[in-house]
Amino acid sequence: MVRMYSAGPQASRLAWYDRNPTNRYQYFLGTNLTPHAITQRWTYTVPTGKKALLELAWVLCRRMTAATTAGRPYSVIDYQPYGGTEAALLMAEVVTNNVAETSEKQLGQSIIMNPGDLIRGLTVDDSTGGNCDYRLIAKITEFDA
Amino acid sequence: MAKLKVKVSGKGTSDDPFRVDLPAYTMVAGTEEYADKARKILKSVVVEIPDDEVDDKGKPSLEKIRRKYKGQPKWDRPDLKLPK
Repeated sequence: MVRMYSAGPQASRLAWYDRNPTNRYQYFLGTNLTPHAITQRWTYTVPTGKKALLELAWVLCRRMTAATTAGRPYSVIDYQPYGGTEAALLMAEVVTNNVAETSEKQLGQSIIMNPGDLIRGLTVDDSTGGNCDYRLIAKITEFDA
Repeated sequence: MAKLKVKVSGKGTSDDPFRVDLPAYTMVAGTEEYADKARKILKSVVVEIPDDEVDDKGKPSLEKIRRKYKGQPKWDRPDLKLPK
């Protein structure tokens, strides 16, 4: 008698969420910040041998007091693949001088980052006078590649 | 997370923003010190960095960073210098 076997499931690899997952939380909560040059508030680089799932990202920029001369304050999260060119992933920009004017953006979909990829959060306010609130938030789960 | 005060690099321009030359960090808002406030030149700031990238004294560790980012040219190189 001949038995036929199907391949069946492969000697399975654990799912990503079971491969030593580690939570990473990058955040910057800037309140009533005066005008400033472009500043990288945080960065995260995927370590060698790991991958990372960017699950959530949120940026906000809100004018809190009017400027003497309004510029264009913004907060931005950039993404740069390993060896590649960086690009803005999310950007919140205030283009008026109205108090409480708010711009915010959220990531619409999770992305996978490979070893060496990085994200970074930046803020800038080229106004004269006045101040703004900024939020730059990212929740990441890092796991074995 | 380890917390430490470090010098900031960069010129505050879009291609050379003020930053801390570490692979992973978070600036603590309100801890910025300016070399020239009027010209918005940032000098130092308090940052939080992952525990597995600092030595026993809580300073950024060359050895641990090289190992964690092994093979990545920006961080795994013999002349790597970390911010003070």
